[in-house]
Amino acid sequence: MARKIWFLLVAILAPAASVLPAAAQSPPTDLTELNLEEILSLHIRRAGGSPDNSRWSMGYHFVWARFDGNRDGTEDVPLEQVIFRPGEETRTADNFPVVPLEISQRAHLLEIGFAATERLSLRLLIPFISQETDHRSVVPEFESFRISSSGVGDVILSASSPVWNVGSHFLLATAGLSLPAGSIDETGPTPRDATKDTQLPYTMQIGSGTFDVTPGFVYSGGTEALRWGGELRGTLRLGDTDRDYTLGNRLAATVWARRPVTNWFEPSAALVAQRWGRIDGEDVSLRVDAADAPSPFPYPAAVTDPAKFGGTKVVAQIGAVLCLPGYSFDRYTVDLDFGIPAYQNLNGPQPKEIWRIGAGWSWKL
Amino acid sequence: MLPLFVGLCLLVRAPDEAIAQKPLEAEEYAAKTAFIYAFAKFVSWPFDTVDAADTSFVIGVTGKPELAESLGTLLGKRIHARAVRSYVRADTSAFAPCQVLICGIDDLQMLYRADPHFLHAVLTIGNDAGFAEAGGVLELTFVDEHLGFIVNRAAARRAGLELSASLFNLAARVIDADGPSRDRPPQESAVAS
Repeated sequence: MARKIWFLLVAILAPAASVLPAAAQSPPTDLTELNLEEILSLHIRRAGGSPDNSRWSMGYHFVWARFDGNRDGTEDVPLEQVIFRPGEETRTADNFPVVPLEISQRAHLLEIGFAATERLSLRLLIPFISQETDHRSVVPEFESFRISSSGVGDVILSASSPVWNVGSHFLLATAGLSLPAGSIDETGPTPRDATKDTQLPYTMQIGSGTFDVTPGFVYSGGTEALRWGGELRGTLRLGDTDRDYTLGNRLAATVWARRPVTNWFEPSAALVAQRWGRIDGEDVSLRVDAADAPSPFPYPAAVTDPAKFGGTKVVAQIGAVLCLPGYSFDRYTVDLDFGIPAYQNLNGPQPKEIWRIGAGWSWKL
Repeated sequence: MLPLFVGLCLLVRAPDEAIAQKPLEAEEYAAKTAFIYAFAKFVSWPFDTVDAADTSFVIGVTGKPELAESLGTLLGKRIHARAVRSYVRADTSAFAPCQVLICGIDDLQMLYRADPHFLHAVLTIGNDAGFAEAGGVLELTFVDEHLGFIVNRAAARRAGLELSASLFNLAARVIDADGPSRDRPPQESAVAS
């Protein structure tokens, strides 16, 4: 509860901070206070241009994350330790008759941005998600099986506004609202019932099922030789899903640096730290026991156990930002990155991330 | 978002970052006015050859009302200890002495044809592509979405102006076209004027 209140405060204060009388990105009212170098660095809104068009931006990004094996805390857990084989070992809360081994998640994200004013930028993010999971189990005819799901995910509307600017140092406040457009009713063939499709585990659902608030702050600064920045962003789940559970809240922090090598190539490095909580409540359709005969071990797989979610992860990323010929970096860029987890402390056993790659382009119209 | 896709948005180079890195923005004419004001501080005029009794710094504009309106913000400011004032003419038929003349290639060539002495001690500034090559001292241009400028060093010398060396380091291009290209046809404007 205290965590929810904290997140709510951040959510409320973040947009409010944007109206504080802090220095903005707007130049001084009297530009004659600037020196020649400062004037030449100004981004010019041309008189002959179309102001409305220049305010729009678009982007497409592709993200692919791969999970393989399981981890509990900071230790890898082999399949034979996670899988429960009746008659050979004792059932516990940490072994299961079904074990997800390899997960592949891909997201195609379409972004549309609009600079409503000099101090307010709006953004719409529409994801399309597809994913597969390969399992091992002790259930006959399901010793090895794959489930998959795909669809439009949660749509995010967000607003950003500068709250502080000194020299080349900028700080933005952002606040977003994630709309539960993604399905949480995905079904597929599982060992729970060989005769029909059944509800897929939490990991295979496309959306969160809740309205989420995503407040955050984004900082960037730098010199001609090096640019750096950071981001702090939270995700607060509001209410419960129709299936009586709520995904855990999240807090994520990123630090990054980019070095301009040429006028079209900037290699980058980043650390992305994330902390997220367990699932609150549960989707009872994922249990294998009956309501009138509860079992001490009602979950067929760790990914159906609400307690086996959450943890802390730090991902190290390298990448590059490329500017296409004839465009500037703030107009048209292509970016690529590759990351591997440097630290994973999971409330497991839980699928362990192996790598992630990303690619995309951004275009200011 | 999905339980496993933790921080999905963070994987994306969010527009927020682009916004944060976005340079300061300004309207074109306001920026050009500020540029002219800042640029003039790096230019030495032989003021005594113009009118020693006149202590004003005159900026003349031909046919560019939007820029002329913006230049109004300089009134009351001082350049080389002289109070700025400006005037606007629809054409060069009523040319009056000034320290800065903002004009097009046609007007520049017309003044040279009429009397080259008109432009002695005058910093000629133009937006037209090819303005500097046509004999203008300073051509305003764009480098991507930023202001840039081209300097004609020979034209400055001919006008009796001394330009600070630091200007040449900032220029997008420095040329030494000796004399106005009277026969050069005006080029199509590449920038909004």
